[in-house]
Amino acid sequence: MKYEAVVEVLLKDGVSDPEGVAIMDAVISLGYGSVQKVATGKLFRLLLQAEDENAAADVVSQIAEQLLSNPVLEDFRVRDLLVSASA
Amino acid sequence: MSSSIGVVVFPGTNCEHDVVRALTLLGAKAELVWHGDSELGDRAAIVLPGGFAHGDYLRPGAIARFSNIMSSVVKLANAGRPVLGICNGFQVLTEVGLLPGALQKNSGLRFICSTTKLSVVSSRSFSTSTVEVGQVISLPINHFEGNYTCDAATHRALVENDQIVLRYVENPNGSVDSIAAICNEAGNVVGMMPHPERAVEELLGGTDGRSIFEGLIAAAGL
Repeated sequence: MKYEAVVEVLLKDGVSDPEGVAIMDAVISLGYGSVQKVATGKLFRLLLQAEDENAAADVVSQIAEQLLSNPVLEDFRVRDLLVSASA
Repeated sequence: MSSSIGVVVFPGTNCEHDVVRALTLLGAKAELVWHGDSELGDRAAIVLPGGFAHGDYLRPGAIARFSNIMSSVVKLANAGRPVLGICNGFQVLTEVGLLPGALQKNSGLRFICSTTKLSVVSSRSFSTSTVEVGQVISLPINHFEGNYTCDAATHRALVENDQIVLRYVENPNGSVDSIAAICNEAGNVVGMMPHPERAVEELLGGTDGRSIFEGLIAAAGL
């Protein structure tokens, strides 16, 4: 089966996010005073072949842990794992 | 024992010639080593110079860690030979796990390029073996992601094991405990954000970088 996975990588709580702070300043400048925090992160879309959903989830988690995120700074989450319709 | 120091070049590395020049100026033989090679040869020491290895894509050092040459670098480090990572090279050493912690974006939202004062915290590693603890040296820094970050347990271990090599006199980037350079427990792997290769000649603003390379050359037995 062909799967499409979306992996989200966000900074751990307590790790400074200067980019998020800069964007937050701009959000306030835009006039949206109700916003309290902006956090930045990364999103990766992977297309892969796997036997079944569990096998796909395992591979994606391993890649996210070993490469896509740095465990000192970041947490990852496999956000979506769907059977892919793309050829 | 080998007679040369290998200076690793990744795609995007840009300080390799400065490092070779500094080492040559101090009487050592230094040679460039391509990241795609699988063998280092019998090098007396290795320098991972500054720049933007693999474009800094994903995170600085994240892709460089998987370059062919890195398994030989890890082997050489584990065999006790000196390994020095400068700036981007420091980031590579943390990503590959030879040094603890990580380098995060600067806290002040700025790319910093200036000469900074650094206090020598330990003279245990080769990099500061020729200077006194407490001495203040001046070296240029040039980075956007030099904010050294680690958890409290790692920081405690760094302090207890005397692994903090240099601290910024005035913290420019938000680094934990003003850390500018650390070494591994054995003291043979050193990572530093400042660029000693840019401070080896009076004409270019200072010579405090010489001591770092003199320590490296001595530890390499050259």
